[in-house]
Amino acid sequence: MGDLWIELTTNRVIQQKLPEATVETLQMVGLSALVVLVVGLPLGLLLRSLASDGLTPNRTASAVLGFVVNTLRALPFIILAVAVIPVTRAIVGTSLGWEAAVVPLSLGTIPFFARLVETAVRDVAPGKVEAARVMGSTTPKILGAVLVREALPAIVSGFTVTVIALIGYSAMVGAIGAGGLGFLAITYGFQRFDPTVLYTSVVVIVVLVTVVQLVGDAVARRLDHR
Amino acid sequence: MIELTGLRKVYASPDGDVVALDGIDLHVERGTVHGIVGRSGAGKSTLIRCLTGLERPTSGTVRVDGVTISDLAESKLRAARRRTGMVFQHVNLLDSRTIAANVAYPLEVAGVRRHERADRVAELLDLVGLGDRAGAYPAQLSGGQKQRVGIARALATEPGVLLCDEPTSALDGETTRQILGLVRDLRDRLGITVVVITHEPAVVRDVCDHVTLLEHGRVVQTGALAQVVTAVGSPLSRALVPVPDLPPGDRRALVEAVFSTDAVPTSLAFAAVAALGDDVEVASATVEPLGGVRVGRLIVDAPTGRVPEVVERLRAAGLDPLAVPTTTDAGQEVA
Ligand SMILES: Nc1ncnc2c1ncn2[C@@H]1O[C@H](COP(=O)(O)OP(=O)(O)O)[C@@H](O)[C@H]1O
Ligand SMILES: [Mg+2]
Repeated sequence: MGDLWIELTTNRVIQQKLPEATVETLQMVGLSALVVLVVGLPLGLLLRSLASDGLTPNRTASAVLGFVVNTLRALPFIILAVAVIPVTRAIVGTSLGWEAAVVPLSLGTIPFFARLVETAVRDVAPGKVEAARVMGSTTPKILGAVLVREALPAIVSGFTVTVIALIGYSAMVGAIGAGGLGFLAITYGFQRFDPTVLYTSVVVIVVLVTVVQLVGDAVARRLDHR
Repeated sequence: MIELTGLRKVYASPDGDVVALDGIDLHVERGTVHGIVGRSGAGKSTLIRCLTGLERPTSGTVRVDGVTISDLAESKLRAARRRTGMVFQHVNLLDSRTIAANVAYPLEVAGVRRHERADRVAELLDLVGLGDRAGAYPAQLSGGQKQRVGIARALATEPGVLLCDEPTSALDGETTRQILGLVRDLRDRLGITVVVITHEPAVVRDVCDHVTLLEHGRVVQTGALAQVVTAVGSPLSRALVPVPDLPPGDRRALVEAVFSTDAVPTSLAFAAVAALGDDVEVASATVEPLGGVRVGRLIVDAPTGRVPEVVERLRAAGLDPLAVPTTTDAGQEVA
């Protein structure tokens, strides 16, 4: 125990790089999570609305959108991350650094989160929508006040799962130049064989995941009045 | 108040068209409670959905409170819907909202200001006897309390018409009676017109002034409650004034008779049967208060050869008799 403490407090990589790497991971996961929420939530609602029993059924649009989402989901993340490098350069100007990592991270998890939102919203009892329509609600009111609000506990749980997936993926993009804890673990821990760095990085990632899960569960529970 | 003319609704389905409503003509007077009964699939829900404008008729017109619902564009329809309230079998409250917020929902939709909403909600919750539960969530209420909230919500925008689709089918007997009492009370106090769909004879007996029987999308029988139940041989009479099952054993011929105790006191009805002799007997009978009168229904068992005479003599006594074909069971459950 004493030895470990000394090692942790004297290891130069941990002293100098770990805080920075943690912040990078938090930044890339945080910004990606925001993008995923802003794009994935409406996309999930759109997927649900276009279905044959949705608010605005449209067979063709539903099939096209479903195909795009499924294709993105079918690609293994690491292949997607490499394949979108030209897109990343076009948007961010570079393919290196945590900012650049936001592009593959968002693209890789938006379809996943959108499907989770779609499922959550589909579970809202059709009777609630019918009641809202009988009371003269407009479609936006039904989407917001009925579908999203009633499905919110499930949407929050889905978002929690998505953020945890993002943390995992952020470690992968670390390996291809994004920085963060994944980069630290691979370059210092693995390639230069410093097990303290490797395991410390892993522990920090586990702590992040645990915190996200606990907070997500607590929020979902607070919102759930069933 | 409600006027349906030639209402037809045809659904397209993979295995051909389904005619849900097949030419309905119906008039519901202001301030009355009108029951709609019929087997599952008869078209009851479709009828009520046409009244809310959720379903567009294939042909025919729907007029509610002077507005021809069936002609309105979607945007106008939303405003028109606020003038009808609807109560559902499964209540359909929003689980994420307190009951006060649930009752406030239609007011939000109608653009009522926040502080006016709060006053109105308090008033409505008092009206249904839940003034002290404003902050509770639906999950914390019993089935009957939830339905009270559903009724308060339906009344929020002061509609002239209250539509109820199987409002008590998920409730137990005592709770059903309380909810029906509330509906009757609201009709009396607010002068509201109520249409209630049900498959429970008790609901019709307890709360309806008029009743309509639907079958395969058509009106089979309609009229004031007291009038339809005293029509001998009518399906509604059988459904609403059920007699106990006939005892098993050899059956000769059956004659059914209906009477209102206004016209024929019960004792005289039985005396008329007794006067027919030892080989004619009452197989089953009931007398029930209904639609402001007491209605009696008798099933008389007689030798086959004496049927015409039995019918004749009961008619002379002021009853309304009908020979029942022996294959028909004279019992229950039309609705
Ligand atoms: N949306 C729909 N699409 C196709 N058929 C329907 C639809 N709604 C109702 N029907 C059919 O219309 C008929 C009447 O249904 P409904 O009005 O629900 O009857 P009830 O409420 O009396 O049980 C049934 O045969 C039912 O299958
Ligand atoms: Mg129905």
